[in-house]
Amino acid sequence: MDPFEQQIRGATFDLGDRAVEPPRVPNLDEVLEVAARLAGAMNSVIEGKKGVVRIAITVLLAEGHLLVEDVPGVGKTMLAKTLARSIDCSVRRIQFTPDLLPSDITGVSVYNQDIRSFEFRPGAIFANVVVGDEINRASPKTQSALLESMEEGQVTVDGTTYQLQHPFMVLATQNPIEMEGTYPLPEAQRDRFMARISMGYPAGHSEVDLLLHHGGRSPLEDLRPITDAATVSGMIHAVRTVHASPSIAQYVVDLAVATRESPALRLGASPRAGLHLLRASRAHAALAGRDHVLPDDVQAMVVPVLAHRLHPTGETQMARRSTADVLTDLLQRVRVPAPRT
Amino acid sequence: MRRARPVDAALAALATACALLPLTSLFAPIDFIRPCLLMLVVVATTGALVRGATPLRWPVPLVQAVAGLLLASWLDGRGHLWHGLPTLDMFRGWSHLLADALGTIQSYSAPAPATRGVVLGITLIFAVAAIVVDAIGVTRRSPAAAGLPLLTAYLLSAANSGTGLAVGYFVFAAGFWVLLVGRQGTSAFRGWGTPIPLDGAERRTTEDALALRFVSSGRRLAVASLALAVILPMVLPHLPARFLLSGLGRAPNGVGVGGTSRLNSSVDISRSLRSQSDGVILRYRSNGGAVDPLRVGVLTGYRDGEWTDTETDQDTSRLADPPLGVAGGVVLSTVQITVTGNRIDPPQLAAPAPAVAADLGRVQWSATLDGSIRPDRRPDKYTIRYVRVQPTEQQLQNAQTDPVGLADAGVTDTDLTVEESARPTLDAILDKVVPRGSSAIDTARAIQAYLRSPAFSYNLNLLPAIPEDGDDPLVTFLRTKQGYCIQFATAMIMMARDRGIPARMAIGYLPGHLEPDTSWTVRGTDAHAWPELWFPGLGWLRFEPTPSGRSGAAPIYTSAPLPTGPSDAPTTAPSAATSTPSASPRTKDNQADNPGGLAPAVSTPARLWHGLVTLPAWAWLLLVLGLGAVGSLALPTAAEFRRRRAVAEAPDDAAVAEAHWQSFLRQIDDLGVRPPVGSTPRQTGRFVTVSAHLEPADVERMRTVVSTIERARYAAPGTAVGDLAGPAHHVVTSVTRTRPRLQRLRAFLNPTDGRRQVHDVVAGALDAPRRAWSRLRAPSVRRRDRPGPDQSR
Repeated sequence: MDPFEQQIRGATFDLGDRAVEPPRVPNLDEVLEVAARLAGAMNSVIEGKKGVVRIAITVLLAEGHLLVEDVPGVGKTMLAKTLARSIDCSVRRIQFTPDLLPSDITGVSVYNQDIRSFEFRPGAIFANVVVGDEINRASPKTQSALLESMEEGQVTVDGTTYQLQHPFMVLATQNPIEMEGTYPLPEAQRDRFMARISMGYPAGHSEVDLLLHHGGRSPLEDLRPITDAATVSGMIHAVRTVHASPSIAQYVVDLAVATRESPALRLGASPRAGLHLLRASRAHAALAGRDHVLPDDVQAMVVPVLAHRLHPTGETQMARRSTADVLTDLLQRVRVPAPRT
Repeated sequence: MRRARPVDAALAALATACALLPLTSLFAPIDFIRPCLLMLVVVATTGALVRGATPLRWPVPLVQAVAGLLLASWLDGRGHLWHGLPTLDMFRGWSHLLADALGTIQSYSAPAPATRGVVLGITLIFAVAAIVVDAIGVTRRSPAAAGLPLLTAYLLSAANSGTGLAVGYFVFAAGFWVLLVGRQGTSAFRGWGTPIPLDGAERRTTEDALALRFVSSGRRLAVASLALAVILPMVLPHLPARFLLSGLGRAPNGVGVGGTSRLNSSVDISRSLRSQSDGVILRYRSNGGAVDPLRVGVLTGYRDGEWTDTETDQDTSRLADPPLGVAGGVVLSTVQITVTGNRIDPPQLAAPAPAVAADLGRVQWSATLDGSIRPDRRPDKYTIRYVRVQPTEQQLQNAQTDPVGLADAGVTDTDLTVEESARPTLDAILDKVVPRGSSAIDTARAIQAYLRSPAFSYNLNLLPAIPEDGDDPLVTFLRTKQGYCIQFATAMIMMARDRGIPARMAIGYLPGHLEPDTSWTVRGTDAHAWPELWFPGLGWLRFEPTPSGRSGAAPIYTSAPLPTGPSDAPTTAPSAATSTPSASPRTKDNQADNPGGLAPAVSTPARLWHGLVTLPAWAWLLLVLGLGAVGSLALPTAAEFRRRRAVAEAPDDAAVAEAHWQSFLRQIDDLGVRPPVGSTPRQTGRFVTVSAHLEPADVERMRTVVSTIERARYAAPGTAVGDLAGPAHHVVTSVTRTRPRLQRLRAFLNPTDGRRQVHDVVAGALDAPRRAWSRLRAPSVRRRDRPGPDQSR
């Protein structure tokens, strides 16, 4: 066991003004068990989207943020809300609009007449799960207010830094085709999302089931939390212990380098992207009940983790190839490195 | 138009034309080339049209054949056509013409007269060659294979012309053929394009890598071929040193190249005979068209397989006119030649025999009894008048050798001395060859015909003697039936002497090569030897037992008169003022000058070869099989060694598993199971399972292998890894079972591991001197700037 990881196990975590007891780190079997229950609960709400649900849980366990991108009405918000609901934790939802102000997200200091001083009113970001709906409708200024919080888990208002709660996850949705009145997420913002998934239309029979069951009331209302924030926090720590051998790290780097060198891409993967990919692969391995990462885990997470960060060249766009297509090609070409003996 | 491939067709036709063009050196006049080229054009055009009209391949040569036949019938079948179409009558006529052509070819040495039949035959040959080359090279798009018919066509001329073909013939034919190959290769490369618009540059990189691999392997192949091309001629003793320079296909060598012979005379002339110099000996002009060989000297004594000059020293100051022994009443035609640029050192002089007058300018000279001229110093320019004896058949038949009175004519006992050791062999042959009661001339003719028969072949390299032959090379020659002019002449002389005809060996030069300005050039390679037989009343008559490919035609009187042959038999050929040196009948069709008769020389460096060559066939077979077996096991052994060493050198279980896994990957790769490049172990396992149709038990083993390598590679250090070798071996065996037999054999004989091992060993050996050098330098370098071990890279 890595000494650093051991330190993490025993450390007390200062999560801002709310002192939280150190999370109990479950073993990987427990992680798998809880995650399976979580997935089961979510699947009961979101019909026929097991893959999407799995990636969502993977990102949760990998301590990342999730961007759900698809056309309106396929259940993006539903997915976000379901994930938030199934965990017994604080959930805030921000509906992004062009007139949304940064202070609405981070919070604002208000003068309190009683105590004759400024008092900090936390914004919507102070929650375990933040659902950012239609994130690309807010102005860039507001979007960038999310930056610090997402990356560092803290908010600085009027010179004071406030720690966010743990676990902390931003679940943002956006519409790709809505052009009017939208501000596309800047690269820096997109790079902070660990993964982007698209819901896709439900399969035929799922859609029938959906119509039948949604006729009355939303299944979301029946959903009871499966686990709580502390457990999730513990699971996140457990996932960190999943072993990634040097050759896996090498593979991740090789893939990142391949995206940078690919002539089909204008912008390749950043080192942060590589970091995210390895973390997501760890979570993926944990969900597969393994205590070590396989190249297959990396391959499974490459498209969700990298696709939204890459910029295709004009020719690639003209050829109607998505970045996901380019990545799939790269996966077939980049050799899985053998360990150096 | 693309399918028609007119450019390729044109190249193929040009290559065919160039390959067949040397036929012009075999026949004269060369007017026949025009219909032949027309035939080529027709065949090529028809082929292109048919290809353009139909994607099918088989109709192309068919239509070409029909078109060629029509053209040939219009050219050579006039008068036998029915509305322009060939008739049965025409084919009958053709068969006569072709039979006639066959007769012409068999009875004439090159250049033979281009009769109608010959022209028809050549036209048809052109048509067939063009159709075959076009079908293989253009329609079938395998121009490399089309090289074979082209080579065949070329060798047709090369094997039959007496001299070396000009290099240009080969270079142009090969050049057009290479162009054809190149064009087809280019279009094949272009055909690899794909309509899917992949991102260009990425594809380019992989294709570049592929192309680089092609380039490097091509380079390696080229270097290896070059090395072989240089080394093989050095190792193989048969090829004359100047094989490539003196004309491709065959070398117009002088006498005695590539081997030595004990038949050589010890006099000076023999050295020049053996010299392979291509230098000009002399040039001359003659007032009587074709000339007889130029004699330099005469040898009479033969001892222990060597000709020696028995010095008579009865020099006179003048030449006998008429020549010694020629009675009155014999027709003599006088020919005068003027020699310039004479390079023969005194006391020898080249002159046709028998010379009757000589003008050497201011150079003093004497004549010997045998008719040779001995100058004091070398005359640069001189004139010789000599006579051609043209006896009638009656005179020839009457010329029975009478032992009485020979001495008067300068004939000595030496001229009748037969090598005793060869006498039994000679007798046996003579009894068989010469009919009983033959006249002297018929005996001589029979001997010459026997030696010029196809059973004998002209070969500069003598086959080795066997003990049964005794000491006499003559016996060896009569057994092996391979040799060059000295052997043929010696054999004829000994046989004639055995039958009581005085005979002697004449040494000199063939008439040489006719230049465009009607002068003749004699080179060192024209050195020749021939027998002269004594006939009372006729003197010394030249005979020509050496196959015509080398020596040209035999004198007219040496063959029996033709029984009223076809009108185009040039019975007056020698005296006719035609520019062809040898348009006279041959006695027999000769497979002359056969460089393909690969007989090892008896020269000292080739002794080792003898030992090998003389091994019995079964020993050879065993040797080759044994070497082959040992050689074929080299790579599998190297592969096994490499695998074992990799496992033995592995520091821990994980590394052992990794070594086994890598070897597993290479083994299934050898078997043709190649997972995609970016496959993880898991995907590899799935790929093998699917593509090799593994049985359930093997699927389970495959899973064990995959999970083992995954643990070894990716699990936290210290995890128990387990055994991979056993199940991996089983899986390989199962995969092997599903493969075709050829692939299995290939995987066994040529494993990647083995190749890599050999490569590493070779690279290590090549690298050793450099490493030693860097080790020598290393201390000083390290002292200077401490670059670390990287410096040695």
